[in-house]
Amino acid sequence: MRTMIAGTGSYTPENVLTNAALEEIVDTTDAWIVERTGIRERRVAAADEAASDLGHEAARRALDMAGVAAADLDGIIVATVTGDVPWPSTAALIQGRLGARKAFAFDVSAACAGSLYALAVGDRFVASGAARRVLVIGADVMTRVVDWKDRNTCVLFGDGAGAMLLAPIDDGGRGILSTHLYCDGTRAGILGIPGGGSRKPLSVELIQAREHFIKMNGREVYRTAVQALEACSLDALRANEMGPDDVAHVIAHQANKRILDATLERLGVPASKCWMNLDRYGNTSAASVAIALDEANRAGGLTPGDVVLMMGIGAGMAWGSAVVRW
Amino acid sequence: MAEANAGVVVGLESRIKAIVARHLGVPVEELDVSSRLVEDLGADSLDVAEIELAIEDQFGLEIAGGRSWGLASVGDAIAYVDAHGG
Repeated sequence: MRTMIAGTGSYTPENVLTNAALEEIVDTTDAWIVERTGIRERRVAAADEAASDLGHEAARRALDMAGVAAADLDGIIVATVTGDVPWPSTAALIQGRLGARKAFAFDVSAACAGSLYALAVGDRFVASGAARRVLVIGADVMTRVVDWKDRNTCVLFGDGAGAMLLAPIDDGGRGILSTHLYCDGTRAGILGIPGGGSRKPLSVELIQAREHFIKMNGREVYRTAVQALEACSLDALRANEMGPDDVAHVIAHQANKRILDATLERLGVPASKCWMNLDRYGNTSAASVAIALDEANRAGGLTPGDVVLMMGIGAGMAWGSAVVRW
Repeated sequence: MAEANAGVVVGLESRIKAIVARHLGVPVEELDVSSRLVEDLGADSLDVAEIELAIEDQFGLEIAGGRSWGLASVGDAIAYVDAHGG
């Protein structure tokens, strides 16, 4: 028995923040942003939207596609690093709002690798028979935690959510074939938000020092990402006795076009096979992979039998890959 | 012996310059051993990371345990590769 992705959904807020608008806020240019990152615009959540709102809408759309009622859900797993509140979990908030009375709910914290981590966890529940309907959601509101005075980071991120409804399948070789998760905690210092937790609790001084915002060492993140994504993709393909030529679609975390291009080149997979939406949404952290999958799915490109290679990497550093036969 | 070594270093220098020139879209003739990637050649942090990875790949080396070696100039790259047995 395997797990299939029976429904997908995504939601990105209405408000569009273009590179041109960013030129007014911080010392940058549209040309610089497009050339260095591939991003043209990103979405910004409305004042009354938090992670659970974005996640709830993406969830509703995935449930509609799969024809599953919220009341039938056994579990809800939300990948996020920008939950509505420090606790309780955003998954619990979404569970309450959906009326998914039967469902357990918890958040997974793996930053931009969140979707892959949550998918791997959800897959274990379903493939083992422990649960029959598990909703995996990636939801992040990154524009609320970027430093708008830091032109190196504020141009990169956007808000959004994506959802995948997992269900069992027993159809000769279709479904999630394998998932692979990794971490290198010695690289924890290269990306993250240093303040506002138990290490450095919120204080006036902390906010004045701007430590409640994202900090990133771009050079180290790039190096780690390109090498890790290549390695975990090859691991996933080898585990299924496949090679790059067997891949029909790549659904990758949308962080920076240069990371994607470098990774695809190293893998020997043509860029045309990789769904790209970072020009429209920027880096939506845990939502990224789930949004890309939903868009690829609704565009009609995913044919039953197609091999889909999924990959993502984020702060931790944490990364993961998955191979799905659609 | 000194001449043979000089030949090896000259070969290394032209290979490194070729990598830097290709990644930054700069004519190889404009590169000097003292050329600084960021200040002189307009590289950004990702360019530096890409060049480090390209050099490691071409010479089959891992220089700083997978981390950035803090490459700042063309001369640095020549020295690092030479030191790590490239």
